[in-house]
Amino acid sequence: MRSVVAIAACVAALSLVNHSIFGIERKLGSGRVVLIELALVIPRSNLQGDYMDLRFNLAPEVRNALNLAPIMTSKLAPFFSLQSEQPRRDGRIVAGLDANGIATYRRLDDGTPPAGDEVLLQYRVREGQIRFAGNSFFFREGTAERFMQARYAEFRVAPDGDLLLTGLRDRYFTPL
Amino acid sequence: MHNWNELARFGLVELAIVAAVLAYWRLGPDRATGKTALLLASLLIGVLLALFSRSYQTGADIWELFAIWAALIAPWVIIGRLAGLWMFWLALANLSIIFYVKTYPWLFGMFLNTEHGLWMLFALNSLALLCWELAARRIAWLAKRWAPRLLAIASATSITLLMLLGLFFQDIDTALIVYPAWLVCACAAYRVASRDLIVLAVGCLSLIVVVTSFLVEQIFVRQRHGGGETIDFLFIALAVFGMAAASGWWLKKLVRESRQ
Repeated sequence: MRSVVAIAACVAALSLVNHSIFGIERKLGSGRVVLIELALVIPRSNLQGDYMDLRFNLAPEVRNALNLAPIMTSKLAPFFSLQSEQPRRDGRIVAGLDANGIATYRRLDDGTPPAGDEVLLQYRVREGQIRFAGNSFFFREGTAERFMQARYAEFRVAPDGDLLLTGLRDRYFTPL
Repeated sequence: MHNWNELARFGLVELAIVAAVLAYWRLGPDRATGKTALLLASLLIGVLLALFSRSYQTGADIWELFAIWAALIAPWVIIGRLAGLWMFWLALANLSIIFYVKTYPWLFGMFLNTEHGLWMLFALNSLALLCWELAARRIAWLAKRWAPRLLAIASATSITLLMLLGLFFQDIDTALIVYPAWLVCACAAYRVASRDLIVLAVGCLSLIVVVTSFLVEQIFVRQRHGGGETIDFLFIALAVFGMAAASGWWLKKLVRESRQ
């Protein structure tokens, strides 16, 4: 009996994971390629491995549009916060695309369908920052040098604005 | 990504999970080797989820990883009859709460701050400790002292931090009532009903930290009003020394009692 439950749970868990994998492959693998210009890349590492901390040129404009308070400056802020309110909601913006597929800020998503040269992009507000797909690009250990030349982040974007960070590109749009 | 190489890596981890679960079945659910196989399968689910989150950088929050991990292995934890597996699951639940409150502090439209997070951790670990101690009386495989001790440390840490917040911030006062009640319960459970010196030692340490913080706070208050001398800090040092000595003496006495 317990073995049956164990095997059933195994089948269920693997089905769920595989369903998500194929769902993402289908939804975003065929999505539109969008580049977002980077203001800064900072090499970092954590438990999950080495990654680039990405800062987007789009972020300040979204901040302004949302009237977000300045980023918390307290060193304790990441660990400790007794605030009881914070303006924070995830949402979508409408971005215009130029000939190279580079996104520029147009407006917050107000429900009007995007024009042909526009896409919806989902953003998250985390720790006072505007993020697109998490703001971190993971790469194989010891290859940070190569990704330091990054000028653009390459995303696949589904029609509903969901994002998948697929790579970084240098200033000649060459994938790194 | 989007290539066979990446998909093959998913396949490899999934095969390992299937192999571990089949090993559990073949080796027998009541044998130590079978249980270890199930623990291994639970760890491999984490490897699979980590691989997933690295391959598809969608910006998912880290608490989701831990919460999904805990959800997926929950059936194995229930049927596994292994203390280590339960503790591992509780660790995942703790991590989910910590990262949830840190990165996405909304629940039912309410903004969660550090205090709410600590109350959630305190509730989870204290409830788990209570259930564990009650169940361990009847269920042999739960009778491992290290597990409730760790839960007691987790419970003590969160309520002690809440008590410190209560001492330093006027508007946080629930802990001022709950903390003494918690100390009395802990003493009753581990000094009178049963005997666990490690949990009692954790309680002593917690009390020392709280009393010391209270004294420090008093000095700050006095200094703000123009008083306060350097000698106050010497007094605190003596107080810490005295409390540590008293705890040591008390615990030693209990050891001698339980030997007789």
